[in-house]
Amino acid sequence: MIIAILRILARRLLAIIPVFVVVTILVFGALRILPVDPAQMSLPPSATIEQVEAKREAMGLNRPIWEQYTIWAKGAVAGDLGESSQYRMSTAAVVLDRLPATIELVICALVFAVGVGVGGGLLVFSARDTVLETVGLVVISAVMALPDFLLALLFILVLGVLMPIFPVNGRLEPGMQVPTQTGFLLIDALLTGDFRAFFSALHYIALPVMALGLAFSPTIMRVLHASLVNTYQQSYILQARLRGLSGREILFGQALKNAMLPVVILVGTQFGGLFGGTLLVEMIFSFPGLGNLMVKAMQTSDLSVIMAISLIYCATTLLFNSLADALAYLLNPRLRNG
Amino acid sequence: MKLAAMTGGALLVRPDFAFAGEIDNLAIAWTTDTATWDPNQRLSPDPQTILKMVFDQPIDQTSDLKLTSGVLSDWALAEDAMSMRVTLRDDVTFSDGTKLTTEDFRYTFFERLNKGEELDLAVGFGTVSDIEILSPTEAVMHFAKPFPIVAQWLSFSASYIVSKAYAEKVGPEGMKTSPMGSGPYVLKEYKRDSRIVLVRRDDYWGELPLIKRITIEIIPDPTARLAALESGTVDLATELSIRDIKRLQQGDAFNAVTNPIARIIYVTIRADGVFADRNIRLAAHHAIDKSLLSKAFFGGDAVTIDQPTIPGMPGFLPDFHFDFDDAKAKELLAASGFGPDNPVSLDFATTNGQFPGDYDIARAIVTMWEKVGIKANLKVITESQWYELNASAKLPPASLFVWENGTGDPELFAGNMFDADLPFATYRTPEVTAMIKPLLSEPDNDKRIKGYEAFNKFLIEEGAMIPLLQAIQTIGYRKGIELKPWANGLIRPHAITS
Repeated sequence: MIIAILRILARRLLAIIPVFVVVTILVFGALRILPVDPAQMSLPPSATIEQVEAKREAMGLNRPIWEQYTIWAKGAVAGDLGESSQYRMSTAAVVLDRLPATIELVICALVFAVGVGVGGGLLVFSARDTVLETVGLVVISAVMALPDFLLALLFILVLGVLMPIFPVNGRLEPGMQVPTQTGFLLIDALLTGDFRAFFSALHYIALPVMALGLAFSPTIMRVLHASLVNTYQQSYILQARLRGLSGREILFGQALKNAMLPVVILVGTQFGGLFGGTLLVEMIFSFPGLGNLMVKAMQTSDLSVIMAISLIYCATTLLFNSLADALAYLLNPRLRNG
Repeated sequence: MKLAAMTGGALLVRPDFAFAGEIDNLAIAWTTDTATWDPNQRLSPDPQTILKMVFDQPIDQTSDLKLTSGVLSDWALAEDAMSMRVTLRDDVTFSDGTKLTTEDFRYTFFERLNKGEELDLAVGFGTVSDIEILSPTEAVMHFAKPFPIVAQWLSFSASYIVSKAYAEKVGPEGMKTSPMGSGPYVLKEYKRDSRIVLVRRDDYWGELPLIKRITIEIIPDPTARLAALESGTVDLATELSIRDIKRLQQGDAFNAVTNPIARIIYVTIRADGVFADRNIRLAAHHAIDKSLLSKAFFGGDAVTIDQPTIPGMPGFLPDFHFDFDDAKAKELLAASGFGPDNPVSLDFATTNGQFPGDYDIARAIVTMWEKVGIKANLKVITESQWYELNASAKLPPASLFVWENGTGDPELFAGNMFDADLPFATYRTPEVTAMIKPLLSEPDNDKRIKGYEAFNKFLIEEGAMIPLLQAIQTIGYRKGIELKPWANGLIRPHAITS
């Protein structure tokens, strides 16, 4: 079975490549259509028209767009994503410096969202056919209507200002430092055995994780609830009841495994959305990740950085879609046998 | 008597008593990180507060932008403004303990620029043809053409002295990430776009600031900056909304100030197209009620301006005004065949979020213009697009723009705004060029300032631009600290006391 899953995964990953290439062409083309001149951006504001023209020539911007794309693509394959006009540094270095923070945030938010989503879905389902189920579904709908950035502002107001339980910006207590090993603060703190720093990092990441995760969890609750309702109409559940299994045994031993399948696919397909949600949440919490960098890059028309981050978002979405497929394959025997 | 004895005793047992009033740590919520730690690389105003804590400038400025000695104890511009003799203090050291000498001064303002590094410092000092070293503390700057405001430039953005030995050791890339200056603070901790921790150098050559440690939290969102202040995460937050400043002023927990700074908000005008008609240009200016803009978007705290400069700066004419007069605007438009029923149409560009209230101010102007017979089609662009459109002569006839001038000299207002050789000029006519070119190289300061006074008046009477407001910086800070704001918008550690 493992070989079959690996084969599925490999097939999916291979299928990603042409999609990814098409996306790079689209993003590159879109950024070149914008009325922004990367040459002008990379020079001092007082640069003369001649200086800008010389820079444009040096950057290859006067060549046909397909030629520019080829130059960029060759560089990208070799790990050279160009130079950031804002930082006047290698774009790869600027982006890779922020990437671990965002991955850490998104994974924590995903764990939080799945925990709250599955827990909430089970809770609402266990109250089925009662008034509590209706109340639960209304609450889920209400939370679904709140976008992540609004939740972020609400959390800052309630848990940061009115009841200052959590810090509202940054990743770590001032004065506290963790030697960088992986770039993932929580992991680095554990690797160095600095538990004070670990808990400080958890404390600081709590509000962004809650804002990002809570915006995603109602969808998981609804899907799980609907899936469980559907599963309970299957004949094998009736048979399990007739065999005298308890409600808990039926739920956790029989129904949940099958009902989780749509949730797994949902999480996989929506992961890209969660990644995209970091854009505003990171800015609001001054979290030094890709989202924050992307907002700044857009404000300053730092095209090479916008391009690099767009591709990371794209690659992440495609990758997690493939992983969701593989997981669905693992969980669903009908897919395996078919 | 008893009190005096007790104090004397305290001094004997606690030698640090003399530093009473020191602040152990001050946390500041700041809007944006420095893009680079190379202090010569960027002219943008926002990071200057951060850079000035780590690096020193040859000449300093008082809170009202008058020049005062910094690393230079003396400077004397030649009569023809083709050279300037400078004297450096002999007690300035970098944080690595090495002495700052004229070698470092020459390296910063001449050698680095000649090496072809992409430094914004070249904007001001590109005309330096050599720096002749006479001794470790004496040097003469030579210029390829008259440079009458070299002293102002030596106190302006990006003009920080770097260590030649250190710069050669770490190279251009190292300069961007590992700062080492002669300023009062050293970088202790840095997480890009998140936090900067600076620790005071107790061996600093100048007057020691009272704050031992400064933590700068980079918080781009104004709501989050306010939350950080109110939750006690920071002691001071800048660029809060005017509404929040008013609210803080009404409460007891915080101090809040609005600080008029050397930044103006204005409407650029093109000399061609629809604005080739002087009547329409002047009508567009007469139609704008600037007091209403100030009241609506800055709580009335932003000073209205009628000249391309700010009150108190050289070149400012206290008695010159341009009135809001919509009847006059209609009259001028009617003379050119337009009116509310037959409006003149034009495109009007604005940024959205580049500076507080930009888009809303532009919308208000559109409404004011519409009343007199100017139908403006509002287009949102970014700042970088503005430069691109202007360079390709595609900028709309009018655009809302903001201009910063921390030098305290009119050259960086009207001088740069209308110099056709620079990418900022939108109103390009032979008459303007003929007036401005002599001013840029005029060595006689009094004559130069008089020239700018006349030039400013000419620009407004010709309708070459529409000055609107002097921008304000908003600052909220906790009770228990005192702050003296600087007219260039910098937060200076020396200006914060407990």
